[in-house]
Amino acid sequence: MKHTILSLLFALSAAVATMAADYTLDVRLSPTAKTVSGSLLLEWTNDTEFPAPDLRFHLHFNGWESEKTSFMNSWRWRDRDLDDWGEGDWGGTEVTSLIYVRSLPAAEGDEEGVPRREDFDLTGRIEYIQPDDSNPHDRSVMRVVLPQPVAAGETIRVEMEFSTKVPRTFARTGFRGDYYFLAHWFPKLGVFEKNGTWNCHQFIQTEFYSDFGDYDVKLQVPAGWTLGATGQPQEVRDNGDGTATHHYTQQRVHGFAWVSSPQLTEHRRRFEHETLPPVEMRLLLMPDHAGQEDRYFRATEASLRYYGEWFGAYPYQHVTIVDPAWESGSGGMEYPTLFTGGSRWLTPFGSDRPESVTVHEMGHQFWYGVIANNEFEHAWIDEGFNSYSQLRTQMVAYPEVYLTERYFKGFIPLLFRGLPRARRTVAGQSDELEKDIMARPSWQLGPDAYGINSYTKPALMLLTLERHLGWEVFQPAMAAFYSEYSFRHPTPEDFFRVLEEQTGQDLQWFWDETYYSSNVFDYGVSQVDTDRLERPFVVVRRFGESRFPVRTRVTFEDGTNALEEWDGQGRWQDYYYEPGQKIVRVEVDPDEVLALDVNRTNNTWVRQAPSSFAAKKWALKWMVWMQNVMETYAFHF
Amino acid sequence: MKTAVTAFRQGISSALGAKRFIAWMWLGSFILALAPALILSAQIEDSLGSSAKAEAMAQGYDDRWYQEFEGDATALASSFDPTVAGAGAVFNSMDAFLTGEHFDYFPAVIFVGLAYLLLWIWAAGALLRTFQTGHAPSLSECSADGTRYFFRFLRLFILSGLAYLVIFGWLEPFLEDHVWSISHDTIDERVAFFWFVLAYLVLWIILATVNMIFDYAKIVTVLESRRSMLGAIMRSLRLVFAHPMQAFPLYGLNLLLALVFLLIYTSLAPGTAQSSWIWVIWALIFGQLYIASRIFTRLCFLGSQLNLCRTWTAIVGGIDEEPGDTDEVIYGS
Repeated sequence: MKHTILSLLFALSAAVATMAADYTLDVRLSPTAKTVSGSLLLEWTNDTEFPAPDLRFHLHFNGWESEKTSFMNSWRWRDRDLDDWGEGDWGGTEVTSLIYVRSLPAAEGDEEGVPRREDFDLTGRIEYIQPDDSNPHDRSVMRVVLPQPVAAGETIRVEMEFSTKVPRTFARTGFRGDYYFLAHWFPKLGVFEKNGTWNCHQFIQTEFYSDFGDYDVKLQVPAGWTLGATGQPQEVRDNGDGTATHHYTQQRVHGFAWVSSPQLTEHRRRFEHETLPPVEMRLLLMPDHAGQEDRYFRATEASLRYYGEWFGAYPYQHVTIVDPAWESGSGGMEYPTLFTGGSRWLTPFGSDRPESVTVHEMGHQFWYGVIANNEFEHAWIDEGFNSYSQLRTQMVAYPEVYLTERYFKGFIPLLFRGLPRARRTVAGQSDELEKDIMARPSWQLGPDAYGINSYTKPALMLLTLERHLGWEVFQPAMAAFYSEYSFRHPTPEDFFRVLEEQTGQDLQWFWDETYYSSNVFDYGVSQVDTDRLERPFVVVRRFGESRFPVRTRVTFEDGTNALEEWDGQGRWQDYYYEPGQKIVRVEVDPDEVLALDVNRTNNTWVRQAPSSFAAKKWALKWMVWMQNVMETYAFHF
Repeated sequence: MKTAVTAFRQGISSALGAKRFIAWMWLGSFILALAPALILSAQIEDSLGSSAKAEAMAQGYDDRWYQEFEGDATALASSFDPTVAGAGAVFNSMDAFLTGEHFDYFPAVIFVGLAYLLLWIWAAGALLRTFQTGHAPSLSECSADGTRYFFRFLRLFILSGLAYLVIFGWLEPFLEDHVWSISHDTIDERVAFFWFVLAYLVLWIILATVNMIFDYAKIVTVLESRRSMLGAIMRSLRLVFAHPMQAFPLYGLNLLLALVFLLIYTSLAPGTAQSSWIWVIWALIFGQLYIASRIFTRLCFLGSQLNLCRTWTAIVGGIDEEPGDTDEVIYGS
């Protein structure tokens, strides 16, 4: 019954969701030529109030066309060593035919059941534009000016023939040996925004933004190869010529990725839960990771369970987990109803792989798959929300993770059981935090500011807000956001509005301190005088520029303690106590509400801190290491 | 093989007879490492201050504190990593060496390492003379022998440095590039691992051979009182390749001894849980015993190789005369 209600809720949300682009694809993979070619049929509804004079398509694979593309020159990839790349390793997509089809009103004499249509061959009108950086060598955005604009509410069809050369894999897609991972591989329409403009950025980073739609895809690959894809398999047909065609369909998704290799083995398990709908999990595993099935499934189940309980159910009935090939560069990425994990041949229990990446990428099925923000401009919504949710999930499902050092070129791991790892923190990252603000469009964030502003800072911003408001207030607000924006493209402002409406609080001050500012939070103990005969006192200081209310707990020798509240606005705050009260411990923010505090060491003061002992203990360990280094040097003689 | 085993036994016996030398070398190692350790200790103590993180680090480990420390770390502090605890102390340095990354450390670490190397260069002459004569020298004799061979061995070290430069500066990157190239389309990590092991086995065999040749060069320098280090290397080359079935197994036996000590240490090495001085000191003593075992093993290498060399050259006693640079006498082999 509960499942039915949930299904109805999602059907309802789908009704108000953005749903504009349906794709039918029929393609063939040639492992010899390393191409994927075939036909594409797009049906698109202009659901804005503005006419669309042109169509704009992403040709993502043109990012791999040469060393001169904007993708290859992005801060992330410009230093990549391509010395080992040969002629056949580059990629690209060519559209060889583009027919624009308009439906015409029925007229007298029309054959019954056959709609009238007007075809325009626009192949000759294809042009490449560079809206972001004017790089003439970049052909990742294709534009076609239409003979007549697509009117508001009108549905049109585009029929294409295209051929995509698959690049040697890095940045999540391509081939390595006989392993093919195909993501953002076909000409894909940009998003025509409600204000009547195209949002179709060049391919510079591996982040995406697309309309929801229904996909019907036929994929022809060598017979005997395992294939996994977005959606559910309908049939596999042996073509009798050494190939097989796999037919997949999926409704309400905003992309389609697939993988194929003869090496992958298939494993299945069903996720079941008291209140959440069941999900069929399909794992495609590489042979060197045999035995890790349970670890992959358990991590996937953890996300399905906790994300589902906290924010809302996973709306699809299935998910495909791809264990990526070694060095394929395709690991750790999310696509609708399919994601890639990542593991190593040797990976001890207690290290974070494959669990961490699996929890994260499965989590993206919620924050990206269902809540489909514009990743290109607001990557922090899906990455930050997901990192926050992952953090919470791992704290429950995998409370202990240990440092793992990998030796001999990373092949041999050594787990240090005495060294538990901290979860995501901003500890010691003041410089990185101060480099830029979260509010900047993600694609404009530089190399040192993207990661922290898209993952860590927003994750800890949400964790701070959760602890500040209380889980009982914050969780329903997050669930409401998930429900309201399922199958839609929320902006940061949408999130801020929902949070404020749901919690009944004006949180502008918080967004100002976090989202719109690059300042850092740092509160700490500045001074403690406990030996004064008059009145012992404590001074708490705001070392950072950002402001946040903080609580301080002062513990006395007799075991009693005092809890002090401070709005955190000033530079410092002092607290005085009765003569004779001996302070033994001071803790600023003892409950760690302010997860964004960059320095927690200065948050505490202990009367008899064993600093000298601890320092010598660790320095002596370092000394033994140093002597080993010296002995190794001595080997040279 | 029998000769190699005998030489190995004699080497162990020689090393056991050089306890004072082991103690002095250990003391040198201890003092050289202690100075930067005290600096690091002050830096860690300064970072921990009067905070509760000091309690956590005293009891075990606090990753959050380490991240903050690492974020602010400059100079020597940047070489601190919690994985230096326990077996990591050995594996970290050994891995860096075996994969050619051991000169990527912070300069002060390299400087101390080179200082210790100089100590070995000075001590090697005295040590080999002790093994040669078979009696424990006085401190002044030791000092005289060390000084006598120091500049010869310094020249030999420069030559060995050139050889290691070729190995780590050219051969290692070449082999690694080659492995990456042949595993261009490999999708199974086990296959890639196999290729890497194969490539590094080649590297390590070459490394061991070079190491062995320079060991024998030192030995013939003392046994034959040579002045020309190029001559000593040539002589060593001829001896090693005239008796490969003895030289290589002996090297292997010594390596096996080193591996036994390594296995014992890494299996029993105390981790991070020492929360009182007694256990901290125990962990330190255990670490020092391993360092002493490494020095002992080095002595076994030199002692056993010297004994083997004697069987090749038929030199029984010490040569106090300086035969000069024309001493290209091929002894019975």
